[in-house]
Amino acid sequence: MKYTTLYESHKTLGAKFVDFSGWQMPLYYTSIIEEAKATRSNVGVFDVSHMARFLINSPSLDFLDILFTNDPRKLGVGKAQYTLLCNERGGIIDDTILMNLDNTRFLLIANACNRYKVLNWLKLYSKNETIEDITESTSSIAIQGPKAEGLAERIFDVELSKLKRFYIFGLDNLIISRTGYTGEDGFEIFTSSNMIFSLWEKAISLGGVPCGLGARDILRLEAGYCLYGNELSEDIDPITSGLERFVKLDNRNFIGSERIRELVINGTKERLVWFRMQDKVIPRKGDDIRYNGMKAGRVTSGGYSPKFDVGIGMGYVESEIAKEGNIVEVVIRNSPRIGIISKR
Amino acid sequence: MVPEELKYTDTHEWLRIDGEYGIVGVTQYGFEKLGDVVYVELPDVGSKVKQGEAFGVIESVKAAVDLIAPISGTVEEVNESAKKSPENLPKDPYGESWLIKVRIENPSEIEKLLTNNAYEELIKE
Repeated sequence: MKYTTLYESHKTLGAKFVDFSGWQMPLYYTSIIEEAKATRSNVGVFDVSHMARFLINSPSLDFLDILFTNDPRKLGVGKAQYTLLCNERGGIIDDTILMNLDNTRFLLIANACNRYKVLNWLKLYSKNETIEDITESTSSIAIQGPKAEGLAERIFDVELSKLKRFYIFGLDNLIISRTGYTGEDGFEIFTSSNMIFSLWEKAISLGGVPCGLGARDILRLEAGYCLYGNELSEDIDPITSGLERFVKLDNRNFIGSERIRELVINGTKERLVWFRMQDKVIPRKGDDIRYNGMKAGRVTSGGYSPKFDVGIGMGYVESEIAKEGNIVEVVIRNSPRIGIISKR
Repeated sequence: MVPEELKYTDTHEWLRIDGEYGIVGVTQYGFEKLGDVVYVELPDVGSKVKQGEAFGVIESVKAAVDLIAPISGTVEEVNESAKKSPENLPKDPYGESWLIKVRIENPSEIEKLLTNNAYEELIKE
C-alpha cells in the first residue's frame, strides 16, 4: 500500500480511507455529499498526489505527435492540454493532461491505475527523450469551486484572475494549472512532496473544505467527465466515448489514428451518454440500459447527484438511441426505472 | 451502547417487539457503515416479509444494501417520512428512523436474533 505525504493529515482530519489503485486515499472526511456541495458552492481541496506524474525531458515534436491524440503543435509554453494515448486499435491507453513547462520539459499527469503502463508506453517510443517518474517525489492538490481563485490567491500571494483555463503558472518549485475534474473553476497544484503539507494546511486554515475521492467521483459524474476503468479502457475508442474534440486528425498520423479515422467516417456501434433518473433511485455500474423494452446498453458509472437531487449516470448505448431527450429504462435490481438521456 | 430492549441481526437491523407487532429499523452502526443515505425502497403495506430475506433496499452514496427482515410477518405500516427524506435516517436510528411495522407470524423466530450484548460483541472492532 502506498501513502501520500498528506496521509497523517487526512487521519487527523478523521478521514475514512479507501484503497485506490494501491494508494490509501481519503474517501471522505465528514460526508461525501456535504463535501461535494462545498465544492459546488464554496471551495474544496483534494489530495490528488496518487495521480501519476511524469517529466518528459526534451521531447521531439515527432515523439509527442506520434503518441498523443490532441495536437501537440497547439500546446505552447505555459499551456495544458487534455489528451489521450491510444493503441493501434484506437483503444484508449490513458486519458491525461499534458503541460508544456518551457518547451524542453513537459509534465504529464496520468491516472494512478495506469502509471506503469503509461511509463512503459512512453519509454517504448522514446529516442532521445528521457522520462522521469516523479510521482513519489512530488505531490499534488486540487483547489476547486467558485471560490477557488480567491483561496489560491491567498495561499500563493499571486494574482490568478488572468490565468485562463488550461493555462499554467510557475512559481519557485511549484506549478499552478487552471484545470480540474469537478466541473467547477479551479486549480491543480504540483510541487515537491516536502512543500505540500504546508500548502495543504494553509488551504484548509484559509477555508478550503477537505474533500475525499467520494466527492470527487460525484462531482466528475455530475460534470460528465469520464473515469478510466469505468467509461474508458483499451477496448474503447475516443469516438465511442465522446472525446472526439480531443482527437486532432488533420494531417496527423499518431498511434491509432488510422482506426479512429475509419470510426469517424463509418460511425461507431455505441456512444457514451449521460442520463438522469426520475427520482433518487441510483443506477450502478453494470446495470442494463433498455430502450423500448430491449437491451440497448449498460451503465458505466452511476450515483446520487446532490446538484440535481436524483440518481445520475453514464453509460454506453447503441448509437441510434444516443440522443438527448430519449427516454431509457435502467434496470436497477431487476426493476426497470425511467431515465432520460440529457446534456447535464 | 445499543438499546437493551431490542433484538438484532448480524446484518445490522433491529427489531422492537410491541405485543404481536414488530418494528424494524437499521442500527446506528449500520448507518455509520453506509455513509450518506440517499434512497430507501420499502415494501407495500399488506405484503409479506420473511425472516432472513430482503424486504427492501437502502442506498448510500457508496453502495446499495439489502434490508434483511429480522422476523417474518405481514407489513402493517411503512414509515413514509423515511422514504421521503432518507438523508435524515441516520439521525435517529432507534426512533424516528424505523422502517416498517409487521404483524409477527411466528414469535419463536425471535429466539434466532441477537441480544444487545451479542450484537455489541459483533460490532466491536
